Amino acid sequence: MKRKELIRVEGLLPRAFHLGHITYTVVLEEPMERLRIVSAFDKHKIEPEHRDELAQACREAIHHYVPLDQVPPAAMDRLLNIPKTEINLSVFFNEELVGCMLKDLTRKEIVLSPEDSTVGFLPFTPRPGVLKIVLHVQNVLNDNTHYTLAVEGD
Amino acid sequence: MKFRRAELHNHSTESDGTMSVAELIDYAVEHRFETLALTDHNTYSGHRKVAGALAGKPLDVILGVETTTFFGHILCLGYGAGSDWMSLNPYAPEGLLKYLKHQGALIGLAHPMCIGEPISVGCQCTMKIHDYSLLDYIEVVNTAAGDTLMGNAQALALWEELLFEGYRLAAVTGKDIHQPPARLENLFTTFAQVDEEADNADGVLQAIRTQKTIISKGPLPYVAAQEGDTVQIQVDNTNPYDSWPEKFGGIAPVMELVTGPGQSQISRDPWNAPFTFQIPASCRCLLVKLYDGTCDYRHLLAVSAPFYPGEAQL
Repeated sequence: MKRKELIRVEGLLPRAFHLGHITYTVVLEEPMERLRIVSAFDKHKIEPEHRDELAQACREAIHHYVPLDQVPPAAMDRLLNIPKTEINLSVFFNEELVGCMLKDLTRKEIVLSPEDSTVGFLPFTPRPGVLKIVLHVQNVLNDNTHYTLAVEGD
Repeated sequence: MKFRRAELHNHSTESDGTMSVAELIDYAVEHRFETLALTDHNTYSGHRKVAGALAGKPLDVILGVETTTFFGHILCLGYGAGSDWMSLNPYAPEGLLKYLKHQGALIGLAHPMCIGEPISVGCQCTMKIHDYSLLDYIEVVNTAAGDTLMGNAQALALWEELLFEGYRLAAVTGKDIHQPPARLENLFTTFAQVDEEADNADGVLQAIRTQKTIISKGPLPYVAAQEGDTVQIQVDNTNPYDSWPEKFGGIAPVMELVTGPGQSQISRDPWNAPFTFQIPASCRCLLVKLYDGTCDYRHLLAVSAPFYPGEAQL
């Protein structure tokens, strides 16, 4: 069966977006054997120009729990390195959840088919109906964070 | 009555865990979890893999989901569906809580007081809950990381505060397993008080529903009897969890009976005999807390299920 491109989008996210969901909806008009979904984004970690600001905010958060001088240097380094941008992804078909990929990956590749699907997703038969892909954007650390989403059907 | 161990917060490769459903089940069997809840983030794709992985093994599995929002994580036990968590209004989250309850889930707040932004975005419960009666439980201890940054002492205090305000909420723990824990010693876990004939996952769910869960590092305190304004407390020290019977002899036992905010009685008698306490007439709810030497979170060993004087619970 010929591969058919269903969605191919990209966008730029500002720091101000911070937390939010971006939904793409497409009507599947014919049965298919499988769907392939690829989402990706860049700027996973804080960029140098904002690093000091983020580190200060982290220290203030830690200080609510424990005096900073009681945090060993190695532990402090680990804590300051935790913040990251995440864009996770859920798939719905006719408003029913097919699955969610919540993993710390800047590139997510998902295959949905009736025989088996990528972990996190139920087996799925692409057929006429409404396919909804939701990007869960969490913690945009840097301006102009670029994301892409592509959905193809076989 | 039996005490059944329950590990109620665990992730597999279906979300961001490193063990497959089958590997997680084998890990739970190896470490005698007795009850394992599968609570992957925002997906129930692993549920259909449980039966095959479980066949014949000495473990019960509770199917669930951790509804992972940007404003806190809601553990949903006995639940296998999606939800429109994306529409959550953090200033009035009751809509989502009602939906999850209506779907039959037992719902609880995961790590509600853990460190928040910018280190941990979305993990702390920042949603403004106005009606805690919509919840069934609070994960008062999450042992995925250190107590301090997980805010465990604060979560326990929150639960107690809500309890004495009149909310009926169970207290549970969670290992929040994403990979095999670095250590399993000296960690709180949950024990459900179940009847002999309900020594299974359903019994655990019923224990949560009726606030009959103990959080403990080994000893199991419970109210054995009530007569008038007197309650009898017993401590079961035979629990093999974390080799408690061997450790028991080396601790300095302290028992605290908490009968209200800022109201408690202390006993430093050994725990090998029943304790009798007289409770105030105004007491609507009481807790038993066990410590090693000092009455503070660092030395806390166990917290009993809440007991409601005058209600038929024994």
